[in-house]
Amino acid sequence: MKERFESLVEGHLDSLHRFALSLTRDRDGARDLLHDTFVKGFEGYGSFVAGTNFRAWIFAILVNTFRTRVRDLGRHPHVALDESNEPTEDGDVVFELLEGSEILEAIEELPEPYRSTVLLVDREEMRYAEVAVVMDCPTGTVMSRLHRGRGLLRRRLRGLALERGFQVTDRRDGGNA
Amino acid sequence: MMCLDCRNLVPGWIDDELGPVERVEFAAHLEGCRECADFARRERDFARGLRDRLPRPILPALERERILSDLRSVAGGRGRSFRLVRGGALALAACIVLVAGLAFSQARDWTRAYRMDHAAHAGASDGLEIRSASAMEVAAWLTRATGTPMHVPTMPDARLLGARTVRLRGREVGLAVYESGGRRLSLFLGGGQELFPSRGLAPDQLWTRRGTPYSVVAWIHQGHFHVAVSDLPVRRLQELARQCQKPAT
Repeated sequence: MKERFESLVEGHLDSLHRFALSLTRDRDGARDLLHDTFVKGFEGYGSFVAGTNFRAWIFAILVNTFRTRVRDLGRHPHVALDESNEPTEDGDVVFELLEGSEILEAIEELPEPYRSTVLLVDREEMRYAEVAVVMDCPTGTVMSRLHRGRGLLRRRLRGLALERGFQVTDRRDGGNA
Repeated sequence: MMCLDCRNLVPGWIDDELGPVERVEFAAHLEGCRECADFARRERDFARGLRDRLPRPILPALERERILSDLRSVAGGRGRSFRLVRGGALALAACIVLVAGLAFSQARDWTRAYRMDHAAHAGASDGLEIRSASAMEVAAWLTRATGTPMHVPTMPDARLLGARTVRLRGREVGLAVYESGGRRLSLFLGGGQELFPSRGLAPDQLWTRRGTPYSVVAWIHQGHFHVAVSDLPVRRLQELARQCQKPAT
């Protein structure tokens, strides 16, 4: 059982670490969060049904562990922004103007739960059903959060590109960046 | 399908998550609604660009090794414990839990992690990262390994075997391993308040938790936290702890 658990976790280690880092925002915090996730995961491994989705299962433990920590610390990460989700017309253009690290920073600044949803779907390439397990919500909610999260991200990236002095124009008008 | 319904389904269309009926209705709406078709196309381009450009850093080798070490220590320690339980010692485990619950006013039994780590290694000589009977050599190694100055005590009635590092509740601590009367003694060094609730404990005062099979004796000596775990009789364990507190000669 030990070897099987280790092997399954190791297969998702990069992904787990990336996501833990996104949640905690510091390396030591991510390592501690992973450690607690491993402990809880191993303790509960007997209840894991072989053949079902281990990735969703272990990510759900990680998210729950993080939520418990945040609750214990009295922090409130769920701050939703009241921004319009109406898309701008230049979403694909901003990617040509910004570095990958800048895009990642913009995602990190998204409020929860949009940040986690965008990261799980667009970076970790999870299916909605997996994200639903991880975030403990219906799949329809995953879709609506993703819709809103991508919309918020698009606005942030566009603002970032404008701050840098880039001319971001409306493609419908035939403009060029 | 209304435009609002259609737009709410756009992420599902992009990520190929729509059901067969939704997919047909969605496609039919796009055929007759240019605005929604443009919206969907822009959303799709954005999502594709995002996935293409989003960095997916992999763990640096050193950090990977550290985390894998955490994973192995967790799975290794718990795995042995579970095998013990499966082997018929369920009543023993229940007893430990019951005693722990009665003995501590704290909600959590903080000694559990120490006892489990000791249990995982008590019956074998493996696991030591340095083998040496020299307290100075072991202390120097632990200091390097943990980045925290470590003092490894000497005990006339116990023989130092070596040391390793161990991660307990997210903290890296040192562990010196001794042998006394044919039994092993694990002495955890360098933990802090979160690993050893020492409220009300005077310097050098012994805190004792009698257990079966492992007892725990803890104390603070010269500002350093010490937690000793062994299946030695409690009185014997306390004697050894007193020897640790004597200045080195």
